[in-house]
Amino acid sequence: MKNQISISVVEDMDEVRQKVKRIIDESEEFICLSTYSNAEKALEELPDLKPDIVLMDINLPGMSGIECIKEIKKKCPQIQFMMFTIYENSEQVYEALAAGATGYLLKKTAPEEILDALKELYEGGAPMSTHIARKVVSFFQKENKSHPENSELSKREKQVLELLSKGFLYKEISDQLFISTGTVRQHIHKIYEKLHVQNRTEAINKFYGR
Amino acid sequence: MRNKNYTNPNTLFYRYAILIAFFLLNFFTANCQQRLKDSLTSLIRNAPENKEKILVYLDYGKSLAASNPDSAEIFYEKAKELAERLNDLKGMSKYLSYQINLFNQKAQFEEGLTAAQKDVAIAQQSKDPKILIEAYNDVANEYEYLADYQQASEYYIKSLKLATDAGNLEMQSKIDDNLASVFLWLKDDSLAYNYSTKAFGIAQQRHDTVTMGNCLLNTGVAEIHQKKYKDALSHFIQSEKIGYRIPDMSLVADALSDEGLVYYTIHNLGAANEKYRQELDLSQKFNLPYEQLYALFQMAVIEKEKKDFRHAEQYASRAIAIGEELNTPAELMEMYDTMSVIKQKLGKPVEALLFKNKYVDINDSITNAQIQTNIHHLNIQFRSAQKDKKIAEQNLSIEKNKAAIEKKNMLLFIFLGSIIALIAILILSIRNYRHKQKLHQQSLLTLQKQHELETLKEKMQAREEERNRIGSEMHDDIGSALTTILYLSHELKTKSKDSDPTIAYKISSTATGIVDKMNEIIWSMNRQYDTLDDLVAYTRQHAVEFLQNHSLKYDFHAPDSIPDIHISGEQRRNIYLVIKESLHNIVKHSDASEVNISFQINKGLQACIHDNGKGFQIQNQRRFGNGLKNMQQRMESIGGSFEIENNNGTTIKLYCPLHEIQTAETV
Repeated sequence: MKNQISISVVEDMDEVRQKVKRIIDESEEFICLSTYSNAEKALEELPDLKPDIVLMDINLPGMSGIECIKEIKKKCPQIQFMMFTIYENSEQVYEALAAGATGYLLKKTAPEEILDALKELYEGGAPMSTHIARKVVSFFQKENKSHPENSELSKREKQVLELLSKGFLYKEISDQLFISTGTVRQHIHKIYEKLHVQNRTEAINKFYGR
Repeated sequence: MRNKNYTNPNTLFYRYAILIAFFLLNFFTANCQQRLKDSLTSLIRNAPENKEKILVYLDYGKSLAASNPDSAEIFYEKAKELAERLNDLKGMSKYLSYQINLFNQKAQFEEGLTAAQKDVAIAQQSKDPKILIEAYNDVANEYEYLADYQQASEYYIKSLKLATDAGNLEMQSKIDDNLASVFLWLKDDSLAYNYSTKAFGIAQQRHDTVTMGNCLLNTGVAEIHQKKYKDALSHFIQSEKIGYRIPDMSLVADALSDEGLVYYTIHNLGAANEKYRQELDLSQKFNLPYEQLYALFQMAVIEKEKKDFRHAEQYASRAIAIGEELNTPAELMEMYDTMSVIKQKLGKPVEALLFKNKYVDINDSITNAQIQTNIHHLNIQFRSAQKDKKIAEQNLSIEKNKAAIEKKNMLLFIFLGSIIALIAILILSIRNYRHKQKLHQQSLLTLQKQHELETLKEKMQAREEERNRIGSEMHDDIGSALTTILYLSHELKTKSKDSDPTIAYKISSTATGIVDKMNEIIWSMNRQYDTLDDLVAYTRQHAVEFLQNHSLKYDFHAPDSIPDIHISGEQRRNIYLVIKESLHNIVKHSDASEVNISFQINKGLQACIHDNGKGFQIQNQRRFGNGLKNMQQRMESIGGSFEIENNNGTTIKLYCPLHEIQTAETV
């Protein structure tokens, strides 16, 4: 089964973790490589295991999910992280995305939909709420002012972001821009990657006082 | 200007007119001179009879004194008569001093002494210290000329005391010089030298060249006696120059004589003779008998030394003739002695004996006087030393007094100074204290303000923290619990087929609903979303999602750019919930197929939700009256309004006031 997508789960709630593992294992496309109830253990093993996707809870005992993403992304940038969160509007979701996550999954999502979301992510799609879109816009605006040369968002990406920040749905955006929702998702995925890169350079710039 | 008090313009005119006329006399021919003289005498005659005229007589007389002593005496007499008539003591005194000069010129020292003594009496009457100083000095002068050095020095010292008391430097220097001359006669060279240099110092200080010249002579003579010939000669030459400059020919003659004396003493007879010849010429030309006598006698002595007794006899006899006329015993005695030797050398023993006898006669009288003088000299020395000491003591006591006063003043100054300093310190410290107090108060005030601000901040922070705490508790604990319930209900739904799946479904949907609600609460509590822009976007997202899920057509309209206006969480939540409720109602009750949602922003926020359904029925009001009431309450609680109306369906209008419309920031 070499085509299977490998998943690792970091979640401190036992019921949730076990359920998600079961769902993944029952599917044909995905395989659950490992599960962790805390970030420290995950940080220790994940760089060696190198799963395709890590489903990461934010609120963990001890090290937070966001810190964990930062550390692992440094070593293995190819690993994709999907935040597993109860609340879409949480400030922490944006922080996690800025730290390197490329999507998020709400916990209220029905178990059977989790697999769809994982597949979407693996294929390059990503969810983005209007709040996160607004934050991303303001981040790139700020970035644009201090480092105009780093304005890496394409015109299309900007259009997608703008519509998202106004509360438009993916379907609406695809209609308005005459593109498929898959393309919209790919744009959003790219935006997340750029946000991550930009966020990291900003951190480095701050560190070196450039 | 001792006569200033008596001066009036009229007499001043006369006085100057006469003086100018006399001055002109010297520059015109004899003919002119006679005419001028006549007009001058007429001028004098016509001058008013007053004190001023006495001075006119005296000045005119004095101007004649050198060339014509007799004429001078006539004018002096006229001055004297007028002074007696007007009972003018000052005029009288002045007349006497002029007369004394005239007597001295004629070597009439006895008469001079009488006049000087008379002057003293007048001076004492006038109570003018300056006149008395001069009078005493004149008396001393006469005694000196008469070789009574004891009396001379006594009067000099009387005069000197008065001059010192009066601070009269002019007279001090003159008297010092005179004393020097007395001490020279008494052969006390060092004392003479001291007095003369002291006198010279004062005179130089006063730029009094006449006295300076005289002082130099005495200094020089003292130096000869001290064998400091070079110094002596240079002082005499200096004096001679001063004499020409003043001009005072008698001073020049004296200087020449003294220069001769220096050469004679060092046995340079040729040079000495030359100087005496010059003195003789000068004294003959300017009618100075005493100098003439001295020059002739010295020339005789030099010829005698050179063994030219014939010439020596000539000079000596001329000198003796003058000496006998002037009656100067000291000089005569020496001249007789010298003449006796000369006559002997010339082989004239009888004449030699005659002169020898004359010499012995005078010598007897002089030796007695000499012994007396010596005794007196010692006495005088003692007394003058005492006087000096007294003066010094007086000066010392004055200095002491001055010092005491200065000390007192100093103490007073220190006292006053310290009081002022104390006051200044006091004022400064009070000011400083006040300033500090002010600062203290200010800082206290700012501290208070800061404190207030801090407490406010703390309060706000506490509120914020409380909010965050509630948020995170809901987020973490409640959220996790809900998630667990959610997952368990899913289990139930799928696995337990024997039990009622609807119960599991209810649990599941309730849990989902709670999670949604929590999401909304978190959204409304997060300050980051406190903008109108965000409210519109959030509402749009969820409204559209909801309408799409229920397959309703929709149109959402909002301004392209929404001003950056702050809107509180409470406002956001209520507006959002009212819109959500409206949409739920539309889905449940309206049978509508299309919904229009539009936002307008003017002075407040207006939202309009319109559906094309069957409209709002009165009879339905009771059915969902509570819902409407609730919506209205929500809008009113945030100071807004809620309207519902039938308009080809149902139209709900919401209004919420906005406080901080910043149109300037509108993009």
